[in-house]
Amino acid sequence: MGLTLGIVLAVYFLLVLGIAIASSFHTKTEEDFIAAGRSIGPFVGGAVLAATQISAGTVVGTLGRHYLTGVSWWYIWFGVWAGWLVSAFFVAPKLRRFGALTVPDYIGTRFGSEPARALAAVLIVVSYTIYLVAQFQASGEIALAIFGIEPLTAMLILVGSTALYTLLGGVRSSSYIEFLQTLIMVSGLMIAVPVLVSHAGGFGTPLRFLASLDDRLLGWYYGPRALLAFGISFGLSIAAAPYEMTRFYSMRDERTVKQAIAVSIGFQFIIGLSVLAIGLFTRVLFPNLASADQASSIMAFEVLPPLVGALLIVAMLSAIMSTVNSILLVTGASVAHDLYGRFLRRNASQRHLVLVNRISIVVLALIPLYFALQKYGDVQAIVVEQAKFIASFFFIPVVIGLNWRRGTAAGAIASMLGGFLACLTWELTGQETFDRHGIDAVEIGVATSLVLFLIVSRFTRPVPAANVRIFFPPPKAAGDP
Amino acid sequence: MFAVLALAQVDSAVIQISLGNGEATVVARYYLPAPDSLGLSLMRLPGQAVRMLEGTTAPDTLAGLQRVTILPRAGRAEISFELEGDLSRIPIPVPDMTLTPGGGRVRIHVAGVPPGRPLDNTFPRLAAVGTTAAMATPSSLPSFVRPPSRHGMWTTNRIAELGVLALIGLATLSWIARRRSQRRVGSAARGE
Repeated sequence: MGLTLGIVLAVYFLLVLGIAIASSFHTKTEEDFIAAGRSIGPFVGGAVLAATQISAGTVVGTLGRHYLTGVSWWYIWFGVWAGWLVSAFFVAPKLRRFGALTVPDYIGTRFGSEPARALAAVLIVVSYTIYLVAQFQASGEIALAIFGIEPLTAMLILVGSTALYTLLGGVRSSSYIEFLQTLIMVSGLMIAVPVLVSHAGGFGTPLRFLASLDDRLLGWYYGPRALLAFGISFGLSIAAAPYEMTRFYSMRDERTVKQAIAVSIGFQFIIGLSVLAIGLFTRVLFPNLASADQASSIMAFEVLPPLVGALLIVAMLSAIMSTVNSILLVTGASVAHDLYGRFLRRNASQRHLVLVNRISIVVLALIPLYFALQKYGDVQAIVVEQAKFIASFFFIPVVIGLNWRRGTAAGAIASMLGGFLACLTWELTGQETFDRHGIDAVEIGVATSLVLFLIVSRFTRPVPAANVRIFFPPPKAAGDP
Repeated sequence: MFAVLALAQVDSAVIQISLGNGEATVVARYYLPAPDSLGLSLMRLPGQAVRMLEGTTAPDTLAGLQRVTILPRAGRAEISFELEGDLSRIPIPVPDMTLTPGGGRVRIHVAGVPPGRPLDNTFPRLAAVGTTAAMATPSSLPSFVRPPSRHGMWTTNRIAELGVLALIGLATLSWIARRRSQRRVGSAARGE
């Protein structure tokens, strides 16, 4: 296994490096770096959206959660897909038509407010630092289980290699690399399932075994109320996820964006089902692992035949790298484009902005390392936390802001800040009472954000008509071409 | 809200399986800091009869497994049983508590492997020890052992590996085809 894995990893990293170097020749301006010159088509775009969505949270965290809690966790996918559909119909087309470079660009333009833009940029950096912690922690778990190396070393290798290809080619190299990564993930996971089923001797005996271990594994480990809260967290955060929205900007046009979302849901369906099956069958084969987060790597390294196992390990690393890469692009752009370029040096040249973006990427990649080493929770729990924050401060200003013309700058600022703080406060104080109240932090955060957005917008100065017109073009008169 | 697995831990485990003619004997030893009792779960496989050899509490028999409780002595708990019938998978009693992290804590020995049997489709992955024995050192206790069996060329593992190679081949061919068509379009656009 060791030799096969070494060869497969070497081939994979050479391929990634080759694509990154080739893409770097086409990256001259900030638009090339952040939006790939708006050239990405539906199939590559769909694979990119899937790769961005499928992270360590899925291949390590979700798989581990299925291992530990069984089938019911799968239902949160419906929340994820609902989020994608909201995005496809109410968010993505308008954002793509607007043609910005970053999500704070949208906030700044839609609400005609530089403070709103800055706040969005800061909150994005904070929330995605949490998300990076989960990705780094997952890479540490994989490295420890498979290679027996220290988590810090593994995290540094991951940060180094991902930052390298992000730095070289920006979104263009990321898009083609993520297309490759999605194909690897889908094939690796799909091939692994029949091998596990074959080892376990089919479905009947293993499923009876699982039901006898804990009858909730095949039933309702989580009740519908808890699943709804998780589904809302994921759905609302995806509908307005900055790292997904940035990818819309890189696609050819609005139609391409919608097609790409459909392709992406198809990939996610296959990946979701495979992860469920692998989680359950790994529990059958190894019922009592010390850490559920190690289920995926132990299964890949100890159960699957060497080539399939190596492919799956590469798929797991790909999932982590693609998400880390997307987050770094978004947070780097938030710092360079939305904060530095807008507030510190307004007349910076394109070359200078790309340089600042690259430096930001390196710095922002190193900060989460410290937190990942503290291991505050399992990977899936950290992913859920960041999803709650993103949903709480971003869903309302993005989705309602794009579809309700009366939203104002003060409303957007109150909504983002209020939603974030409400979610944070509830997380720090109210989680223990979840069962008693049946209310989750994300619901409090989104509700606060909505109420503040509607009320404050009603009583504050409207956004200048020129800004509103960009997102709400006047209806065509009869007889217009 | 997020569940955790059991807290108490088993230090190490040694499993010895002896394959015979239509039957198998399993001896499982667990080393642990003396708790009052050790709960074990044994997978129930169809077409298989299990006969406990050493004194245990009466097994609690469920549809998919048997729960057995044994009393450790001097930091060691042992259970042994005989199996008859279908021996394609040999169930291993898995403790209710997890294993202390670290390599080499589980050792599985399989004796009585018919000579010349390929080990590539076994679970956990077995390595030959001499001509009639095999051994595995998985990082956690598996719920069963799939010993080497007589099979043809087309095992699931081989098909899966061929599937990977076929996918790589297909991906390479489609990439070459795409590059060629792009070059053709480029040449046509330049009027060559």
